[in-house]
Amino acid sequence: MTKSEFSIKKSSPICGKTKSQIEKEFEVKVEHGHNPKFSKTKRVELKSNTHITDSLILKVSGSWDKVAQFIKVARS
Amino acid sequence: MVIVDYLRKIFAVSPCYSKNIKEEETRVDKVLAFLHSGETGKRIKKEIGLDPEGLESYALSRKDHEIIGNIKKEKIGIVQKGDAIRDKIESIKTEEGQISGHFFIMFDGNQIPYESFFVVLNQLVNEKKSVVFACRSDSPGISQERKDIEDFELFLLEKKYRVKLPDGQCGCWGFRTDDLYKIAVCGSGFEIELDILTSFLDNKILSSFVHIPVESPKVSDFDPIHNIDKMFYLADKLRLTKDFVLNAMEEFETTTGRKLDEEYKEGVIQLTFPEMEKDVDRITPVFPGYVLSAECNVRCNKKDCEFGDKIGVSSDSDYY
Repeated sequence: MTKSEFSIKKSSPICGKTKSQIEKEFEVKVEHGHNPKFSKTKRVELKSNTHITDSLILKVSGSWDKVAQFIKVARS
Repeated sequence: MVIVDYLRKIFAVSPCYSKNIKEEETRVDKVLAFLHSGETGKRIKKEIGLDPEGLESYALSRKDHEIIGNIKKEKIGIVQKGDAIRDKIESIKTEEGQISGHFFIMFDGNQIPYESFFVVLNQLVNEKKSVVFACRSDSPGISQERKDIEDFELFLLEKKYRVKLPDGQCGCWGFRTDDLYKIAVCGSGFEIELDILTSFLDNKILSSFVHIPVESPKVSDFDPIHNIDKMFYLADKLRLTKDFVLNAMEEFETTTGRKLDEEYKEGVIQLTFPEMEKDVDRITPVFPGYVLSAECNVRCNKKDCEFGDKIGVSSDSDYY
């Protein structure tokens, strides 16, 4: 299970989707979210109905292929 | 046949900061695309002998530190690299709980060829090194003035620790996470690499060095004022007095025949050094009785340097 932490691009199609939708669609687990506008260090476990925005830094985990695929979409 | 170790993790951290936000976003994309490509996965498994699924990647961008009202950010326009790396190390420690047995690699997303990731990882995993610093090959990737200043900083380390180091600030290094608890990382800016290097030396762990080619970044975030920040940091950490540094400066110029940048020298003269007790400028060698020398001390003049060429002293335990 590989992991990656990165910022979400504004133009990404995942913006506006909920955490649970993303986990179902991309078969990855959202480990935590981090909104640096509010705290430099605080990472929180997102609720399943939290909407993903480009302000968030997400840490995701999953199989190699699934994480790679998710990165492509989140950074597009 | 390679035996794959499925238990070890690789924490790969790559700061991608740039004053140009578009450039920064491109760096993040490239770093993530490299780290999570199928080719990288195959090489981690075949060449290194680790499970690619154990890779954790962190592409650091300004967004990670976009705090409302961040004075530092408004003032200098960029995030302090050291702060960001230190935060990441701390968050990894907190999240993982037990962190022994893994590998931590940092490579700058702007000028380090991605191949260096494998070079450093190979040294840590297969050559069993505790700490590996990449050092620049013939092409230094920085101006001659900056290179001279960096060499002078290493000269100060040589005086303090009695160990000659070929480089330490080229933006690519890694260590076994077992040693993470031995070092207290406190550098906040560009001094982070000197901080890590000296922290290991304080613990009598000598770094290994590997040559890598370094590209000149198109956009550099480095400002000459950072040289003075680094000097203040070194003076504080190594407990150096101004007299000692100025004398060392003269000695450096005499022995190497190289002139340090006048603006830098003036900056050091004007700098208010941290206050300390009277007799603390007595230099105590960390490796008494030895003057360890890397084989290639003239790091950038090594004409026959090959990619990943090993230089210098590398054993962590031979000297104590």
